[in-house]
Amino acid sequence: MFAQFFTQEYLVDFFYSIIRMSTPLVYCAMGALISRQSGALNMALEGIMLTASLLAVAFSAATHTVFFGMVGAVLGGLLISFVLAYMHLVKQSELVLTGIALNTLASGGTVYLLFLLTGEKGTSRLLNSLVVPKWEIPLVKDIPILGEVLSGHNALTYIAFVFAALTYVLIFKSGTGLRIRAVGFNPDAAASVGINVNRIKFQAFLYSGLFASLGGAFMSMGYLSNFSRDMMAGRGFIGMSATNLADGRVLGSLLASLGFGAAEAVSITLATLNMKAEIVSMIPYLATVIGLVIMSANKQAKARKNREGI
Amino acid sequence: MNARKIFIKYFDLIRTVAAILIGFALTLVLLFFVSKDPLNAVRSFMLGPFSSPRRFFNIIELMIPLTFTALGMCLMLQVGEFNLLGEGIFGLAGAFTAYFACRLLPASIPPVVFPTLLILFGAVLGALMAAIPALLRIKWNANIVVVTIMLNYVLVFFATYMLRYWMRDTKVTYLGSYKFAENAKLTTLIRGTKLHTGVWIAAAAVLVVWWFLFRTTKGYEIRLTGHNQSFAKYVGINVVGSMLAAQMLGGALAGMGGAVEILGRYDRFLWMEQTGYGFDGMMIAVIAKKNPALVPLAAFFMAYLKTGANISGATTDVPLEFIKVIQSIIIILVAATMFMDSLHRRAVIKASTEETGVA
Amino acid sequence: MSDTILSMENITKVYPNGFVANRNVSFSCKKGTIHALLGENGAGKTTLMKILFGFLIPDEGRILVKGQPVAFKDPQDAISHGVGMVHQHFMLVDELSVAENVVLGMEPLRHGLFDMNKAVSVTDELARKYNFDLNPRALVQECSVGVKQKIEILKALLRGAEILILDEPTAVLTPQETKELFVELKKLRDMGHTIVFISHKLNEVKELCDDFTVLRSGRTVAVGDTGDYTEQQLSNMMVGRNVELVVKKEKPEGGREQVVEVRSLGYTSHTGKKLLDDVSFSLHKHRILGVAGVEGNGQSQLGELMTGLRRITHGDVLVDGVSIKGKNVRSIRKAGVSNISEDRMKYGSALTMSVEENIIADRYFTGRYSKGIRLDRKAIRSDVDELIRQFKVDCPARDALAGMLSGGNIQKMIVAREFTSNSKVIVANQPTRGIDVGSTEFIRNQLIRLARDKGVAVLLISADLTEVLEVSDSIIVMSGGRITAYFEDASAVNEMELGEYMLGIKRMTDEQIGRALG
Repeated sequence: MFAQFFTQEYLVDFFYSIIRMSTPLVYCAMGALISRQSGALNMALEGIMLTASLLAVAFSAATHTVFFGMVGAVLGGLLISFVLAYMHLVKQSELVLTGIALNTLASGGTVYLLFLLTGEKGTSRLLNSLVVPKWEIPLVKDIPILGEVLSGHNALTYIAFVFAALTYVLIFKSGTGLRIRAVGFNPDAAASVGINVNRIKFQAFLYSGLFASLGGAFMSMGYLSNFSRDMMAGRGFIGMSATNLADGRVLGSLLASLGFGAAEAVSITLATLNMKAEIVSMIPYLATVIGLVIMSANKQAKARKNREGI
Repeated sequence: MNARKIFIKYFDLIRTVAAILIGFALTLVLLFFVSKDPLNAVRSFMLGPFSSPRRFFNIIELMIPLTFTALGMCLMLQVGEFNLLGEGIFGLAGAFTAYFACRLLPASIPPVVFPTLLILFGAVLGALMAAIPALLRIKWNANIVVVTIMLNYVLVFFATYMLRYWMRDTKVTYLGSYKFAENAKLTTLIRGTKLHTGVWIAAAAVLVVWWFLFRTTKGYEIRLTGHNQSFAKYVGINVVGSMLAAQMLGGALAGMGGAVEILGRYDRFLWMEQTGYGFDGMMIAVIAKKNPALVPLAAFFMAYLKTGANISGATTDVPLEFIKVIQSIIIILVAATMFMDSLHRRAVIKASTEETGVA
Repeated sequence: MSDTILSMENITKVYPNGFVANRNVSFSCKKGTIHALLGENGAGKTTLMKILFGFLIPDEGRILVKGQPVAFKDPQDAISHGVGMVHQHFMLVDELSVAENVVLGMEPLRHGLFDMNKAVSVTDELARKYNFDLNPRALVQECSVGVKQKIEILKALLRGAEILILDEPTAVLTPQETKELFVELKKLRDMGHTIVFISHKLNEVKELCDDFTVLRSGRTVAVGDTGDYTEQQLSNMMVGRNVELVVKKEKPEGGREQVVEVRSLGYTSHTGKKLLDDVSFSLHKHRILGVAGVEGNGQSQLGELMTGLRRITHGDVLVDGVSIKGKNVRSIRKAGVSNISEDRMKYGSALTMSVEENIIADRYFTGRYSKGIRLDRKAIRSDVDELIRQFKVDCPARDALAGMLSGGNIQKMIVAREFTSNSKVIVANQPTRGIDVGSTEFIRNQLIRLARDKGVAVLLISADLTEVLEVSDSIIVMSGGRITAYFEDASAVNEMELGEYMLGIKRMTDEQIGRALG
């Protein structure tokens, strides 16, 4: 049964789908990275992406332009992250609890909104929404095999890598980024030179929502051609884990996202090979848990070396 | 005592009630938008649950699983851990219970003993499962929220796997298990409803968990650890042991809940996705301020909301998912320490100036 | 030719809990001088400097900078008026580079992005100007403590600081680094900057400072020219005793019956610094041994090692002849050691739990309060009510949250627990720090009664010399993690003498110190 897996056709498919599956994770990981660098994990990424994916569909259907679909997604992402930032930073709510509540809000709210728009509760197939076009990359597409893997992806897939670069510039090369990192590492030190810690964290939450929302848009305007309820299926948490795994580094987060994308690709490929769906579906989630545990254990071992007493 | 003093004294309660009212008001807005017959929708949502005895008992039935997951979550929160595995445990315990109930068929086991054994099994299973993320967190400081959310997906896939490959009844057209043995099921208390003896188990659980937390040495250790770990260490309490014990007990309650729910309200196992009782349980625990004694009250409110939503979902054109919106908004408001803080502060200042003015 | 650049006049600051930290304090410095601010722990130095740097707003008095009255709302205000502060705990981001730390908050930009090269050149230029030797591109976490301090000074200078406050800058430095710092500070002075130097080390003050101001119990007690006074004289001014409280104490009865033996106890931090070095002494039944010393000279580690909060790695502690090495807190408590932690909010209590639950924390599992796993509420209630009464804990009810109480009452609540656990030994670490006079007097008297009436052996660790002298029977002095003096009879010692050992001016012979163990 595994023999056919190693045919060229399957392998090309497999590597192509790694890139495809990683796309939302990359956006999400970058969003998580920004908030993490400011010292507060954005626990609402799952809800942000879900909201964004519905609004992307709704806006693109209403305006018949892809661009406004993106605008809708970003608005959705910003809205949820604004609520999270406001509640956590101004009203001093528990970050985790508020994050989880916002994810549930998004889960119920999107279905409600979907019903309001279409009268259906499952998918947005009745909406005449658009998809983001696929791009053939000149020259690359002509390379045998590799071209098939790398070219012909959704535009948002390529843009995801641009956003990874943007994240790098924002966090590690800009003045704002310096402040975000300073606030994340040592808020007292940042405050002592007159930096408004809460304002920087607020900004970071908003950037985080903005970046992740494009991952949501990809899900409903690229990966699939419409929205379906709870379609994130934990991707928000998996993307966040990618960043945790890489300890906040951009390249590492990118690689970890590809790794988790690969886990999903394996899961899908095995399902087509008649493996039991329930078992293979566990793969991405188990991979995330195992990755997190290995990373935490590693970090703990290092910390233990430098710790003193008590 | 004047109104201001009452406001200050019961501020916490007033705050929670205010959050609930805001959530409620928002519900009405949502219903108005979505329904073609909004008045009817609002009526069936708000009054529907009380419109017939059967519906009222629906609320009580629904309280049973909610009480178990909420009690479990109270224990997790008592030690300050967002161990959200209760959701997955509930489903998995349900699946195992169902499996034993439809495949073992030991006719010789008396009706009371069999479900008792199954519920105990659910508890043990839950305790063991909950220990996994708890240990990952204690030993390696893994992010327990992410780990448990991921494991919840894994557990629900596993439960579905069990359904499909271990106990599927191919004679029925839908995906369901074989029928449960009659001697496995919990007895129905009132004919025409699904209210079952599980309600007594849930009530007993509330009492026992409350008693355990507030009247025993071990419960005291758990609470003290949750309030201030450094202090617990300083008076010589085994902090790691308390953290683990609380979470395992929390898991056990979720497991019991899954078993009781399956044996009380189902003939066959049908679950293929997350039940949502885990999240509901967290919400109830938060509203109840992690106090088991308040869980029945909050669970009743929650069950009322959900029953109302079910009724308006079934009898009108409203999608019952809107209930999640209300739930999360209430949680967000309750969780915000500073929600209504300015009102509170103003009252305190006024009260104190009044006092000094008199003196 | 120097004129007054800074003057603080009649400053009074009362904390919300009623503690008067500054009473009519006046303080002024001349431009281009190094001015020492001297005083014991709790004398009001930190409060005064927090006011100067805009962290606190004084209740009375005014501040003049260059003759102009100013009112600082926050540190930004102070910075813009040319006041800079080097905190004792560095305000640096370890994970960023030196240059990034220096320019943080006023980052140079180029094409909208952070201009690292500019940051480096700015830092480099500034460092050169003041003769600081550092690498702007190095990460702060790789820098030595001495270099970190230089970065802090550069941060202040870049923001235009003319008045520089240094809070115990040499406490964390090696002698070599200290020397280097002094050279740099003198250069800064010669370039026209004014430096306020807070220290306990009088030899350093003599070497470096031009003028001094001494605070004691929140008041200015002396101002002068450093050159005109000897170290002894300065020390005497700092530690002058103020007997405001009445503590009654009779002679301990009976002979010297040893309860605790501390044998060459040592502790080394992960950075390799010896925080506790070869400390030996014994505690006796009915007697109180005081540990005098400026905070941060190993007292915290001593307390933690003796109560099991920290694992013993060097040396040993014997209670009734039995080693507590490797034992956990519970069994050390069972062996008869109770503990008043210096951090009462973190270790001494759970502020979000009730007074009752706080008081039973060390005894809930004993036979009196529990049957099996069930708590005996009746016994708990009656005993807790009795303890609240006996220890005068002012609280609305036993089920009131501990966090609602004042600092003094929280401490009395802790004392009500730790003093009634039938222990043989009590380690009392800063038992009255920062609490009101009434509670202080009460706790000191209780401590004495505990020793005299119940025969408990007491170790009283305190940075408050008055407390040590009034309460103790014998005294050891700690400095730099070591015992520098032992006085068998506390009543024969005066604070001047104690001060000299505390501040590292004198040290007894090993033989004299060795008598503490016996």
